[in-house]
Parts: sequence; structure tokens; C-alpha cells
Amino acid sequence: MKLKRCPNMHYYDADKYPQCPHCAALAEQQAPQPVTIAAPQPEPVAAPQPEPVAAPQPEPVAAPQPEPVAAPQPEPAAAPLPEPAAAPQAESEPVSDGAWRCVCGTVVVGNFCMRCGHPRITADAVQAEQPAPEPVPVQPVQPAQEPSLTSYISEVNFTGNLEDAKEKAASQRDDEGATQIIFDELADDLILGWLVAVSANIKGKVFAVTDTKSTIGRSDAEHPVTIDLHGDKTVSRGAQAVLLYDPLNKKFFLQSTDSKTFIYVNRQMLLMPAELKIYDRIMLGETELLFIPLCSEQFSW
Amino acid sequence: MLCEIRSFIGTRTYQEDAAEFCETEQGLFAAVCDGVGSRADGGASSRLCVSRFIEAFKEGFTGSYPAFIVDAAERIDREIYEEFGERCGTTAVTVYISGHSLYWLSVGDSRLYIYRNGRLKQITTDHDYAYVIGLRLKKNLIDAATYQAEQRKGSRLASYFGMNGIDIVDVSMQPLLLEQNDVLLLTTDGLYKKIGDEQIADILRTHTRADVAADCLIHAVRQSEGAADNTTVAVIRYDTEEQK
Repeated sequence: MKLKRCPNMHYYDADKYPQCPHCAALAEQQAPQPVTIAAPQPEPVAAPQPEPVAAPQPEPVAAPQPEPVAAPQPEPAAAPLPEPAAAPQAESEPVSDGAWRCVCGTVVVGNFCMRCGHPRITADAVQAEQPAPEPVPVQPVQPAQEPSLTSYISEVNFTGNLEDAKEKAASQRDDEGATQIIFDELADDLILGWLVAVSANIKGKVFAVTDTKSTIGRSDAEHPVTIDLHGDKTVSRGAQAVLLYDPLNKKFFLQSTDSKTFIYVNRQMLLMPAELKIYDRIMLGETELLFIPLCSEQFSW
Repeated sequence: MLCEIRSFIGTRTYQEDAAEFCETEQGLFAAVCDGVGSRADGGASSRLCVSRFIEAFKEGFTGSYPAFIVDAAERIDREIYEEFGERCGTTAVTVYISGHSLYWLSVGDSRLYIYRNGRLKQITTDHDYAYVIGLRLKKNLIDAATYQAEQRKGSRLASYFGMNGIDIVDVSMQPLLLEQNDVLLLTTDGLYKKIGDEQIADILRTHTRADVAADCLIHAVRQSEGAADNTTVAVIRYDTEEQK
């Protein structure tokens, strides 16, 4: 396993993929291709095939297979014929000051949408795309031309406050593209404790507590939370409570966030931050969680 | 690979520029500094800055170079401040070349240029007051009238070693990959305030040897009329064949 990070900040295993598979998947999503080429599918184990059909067909749909084994296929009913022309992409809508609006609605400054990873489509790219009527099996889109020296310099250079430079330099101690060992990423992920669901809805589900500040609630795009009770619609979206670990005194605390959902600890409403002890029961919405600390007076990292 | 350094005192009493380079297993490092300050401490600041950078580089580093050099810069800034106090300091432009990767760090108005395929390109930003008010104008923190009025102070240094908390830096967060025959020029403001980018480019175009080019740059400053500031240049020609 060789963990690599691509220019769009996706992590992937360089032993398995020559290029970032996330980018490839995104490129495929945004330009729906009639033919799915490089989906790494486990080949249906060689059932005695009649004979290699002359034309290389993308998917042997009507092959006499005994059972349509449910291999996870992206599109079960792929259109058999390639469409004559892919719908020309529209230029990304420019907003003020060099920013643009992504297809997902986000206003973006760089070349890729922070939210969905969609690349910016420039007027040049649209033009270049127009006179291409042939449905070619498209490779993941490559940056069209080599960047000029000026843009290259501005890409690698940082001008700004020293504090920010320090932070930026520290955040990429191993440079982009350099091979990282997966353990580099796990250093901060030491287990502090667990929350174990005991209510009927998700009985037995375990949430590992690894952050000194973990939010509990229900995630959505705008309000990500650490411990996500996403199945429980009686919990309001966003963080409803914060679970704190005090590494100095090796104690845990639970604090309500003034959000909509009431938090109960051992059936008492949580109004003030309260220290949590082993086997305390946290209730919010329909969910009840049992608190099991790992770090304590007896042990800590 | 060699680094050719030349200095010229100009028409000043003191030489406050300092420069040095060294080569270790990790690669080539060069620093050019321009001391500032009303007393002779300007020159002492720049010499201290250069030698501290060289020492730090010779000690070697593990992990990311940008993190190493930014840490070193922070430390050296504090030392210069503690040693010489307020009202003096130094600029610094440094490069590090390892294989064909180029890294830099610059504080102040000394410059790093790259000359590639007949073209001269300034890599670093001048951290002078003109840069600061330009930034403030862009962010609507000041109006156009203030911007105009402040222009006369434009050439003052806005960031330097010895200010006890460097404000602005230019750092390469990732390497710039060098190409065969790229020429790097580190210089104090004595050069570019006297002869323009075009003349610098002409000299680098005419003289491909680093030592000759460095001599000619200094010569051009000597030949130009009027008072001349301290001028220091370091010229590095990236030649992969020469390396082996």
C-alpha cells in the first residue's frame, strides 16, 4: 500500500492505481460517457463463452449467463449505442473577481470546486470541445497545456505572513506527490474512548472517539459532525452536543450546543457542561449512547 | 554547479551587503542579504544572517525543506533583533537546489530571478511599503487617495530580518523544477534599481558563463551614472552535465 495524494487532494493507493481513481470517477460523472471503460470490475468468472463476438462490444449484455450475478455495476442498463455527440459543456459561469459558479452551485475561486471537485470549464476549453464530433473513448481530462513559467511560479510560491507560511509548510511536511506511509495519517487518531449505541434504532453501533473535541449530532453538507447519528431523524441537523476530552486531567465532559435537540445524561437534562463517567448514558432524539472511556487515570496516551 | 558571487560597495562608506554559498550532500545553498539601518549594524546584521543560514544548512535537515527554512528564518530574525535591537536589520534571499528542484525563501526587497529560454522572470515579491499599500488598496482597506499619498514612502522595507516577527515572506511550498541552462540570479536592490530587467536579461543572454555574467552585472552598475548603492549578485547556472 502506497498512499499518495493527487493534485486535487484525494488520497489513493499508488500500488493499485496509476492515477487518482477519484479524479477519474469525477471526470466520468460529469461527462457521462456511453461506454464505461476502466471500471475495475471483477471479471465474471469464465462461464464457457460461446465464441468471441466479432465486434468488440462494450458490455456483453445478452451473453448467455446463467444468472445475472449482482456485480456492482455503475449502470446496469448502459445505452448500447454511443451517442453521436456528447452534450457540449457550457463554460463555467464567472462570478466576480476571478471566481466562478460550479454546476453544484458553489462559488469557487480555484480551478476545482471545493465541494464536488468539478473542474472549471474555461471559454477556451468549450471552444476546443466544439469541433469534436467523434465519440472518442475519453480519458480522464488532462490539463490542456503546460502552464507558463509565471503561473508555475505562482503555483509553488507563497507570499504572505510568516506565521501562515509556517503553518502551510508544516501542514505539508511530506510534499505533494511524495510517498506517505499510511501511519503518518493515523498519528492523531488515537482512541480516547467509545460511544456504544444501546437504543433499538442502531443497537450495538460503536462510535470511536478520537478527537479531543467531538461533535455529536446529524451531519449535512453544511454542518459536518464527528459522531453522526444520520439515521435518527429526530436529531436536528448539525452539532447538538460536544464531547470534550481534557488531556491534562484525563477527564471527559459533555456540553450542549444550544441547538434544537435536548440532550439527556442519565435521564437528566444537560443544561451545564457535565463530566462524563464510565457507563453514563447520553440520550438525544431516539438514540441512546453508552459512554466507555479508554483514557482515564489508569491510562492515557 | 557553482555559485558566482560579486559585490560592489558603490558610492557608500559601508558595505552592508553580505553573501555566501555552500554545498553539502543535500545540495547547494546560497544566501544574499542587504543590511539596513542607520549605524554600521546594518552590515553586521546581514553578515550574521548569512552565516546563520549557512550554519543551519550545513547542519542538515530532515523532512520538508520549506518547513526547515521557515523555522530557520524565524529563529534568525529573533537573534538579529536581540543582537542589534530596533532600527536595523537585513533582507535575505536564499535558494536551495537539490537535483533539479529549486526552493527559495525571501524576506525584504532583494530578488530572485530566473532566466530561462531568453526570458528573465522575477520569482520573488519585493516586500516594500508599495507592496503593502497595493495589497490594502486591493482589499479596500484604504482608498485611492490614501494609496497615492502613501506612494512616496513606497520604497521603504515592509518586512526584514531583525523586526522580531517577520511579517511577509516569499517561500516556495513546492519545488520549481529547473531545466538545463536555467540561470538563477540573487541580487540586492543595488542592481535592479540601477539597471533594469532588460539590461540584466541582455547580460545573461550574452554571457552564458556564470562568472562572466556576474562580473558584467557589477560592471554595468559601475558604469552607470550617479550614486550607486551597495550591490551584490549571486549567479548560478544550472547545468546538469557539469554536475557529473
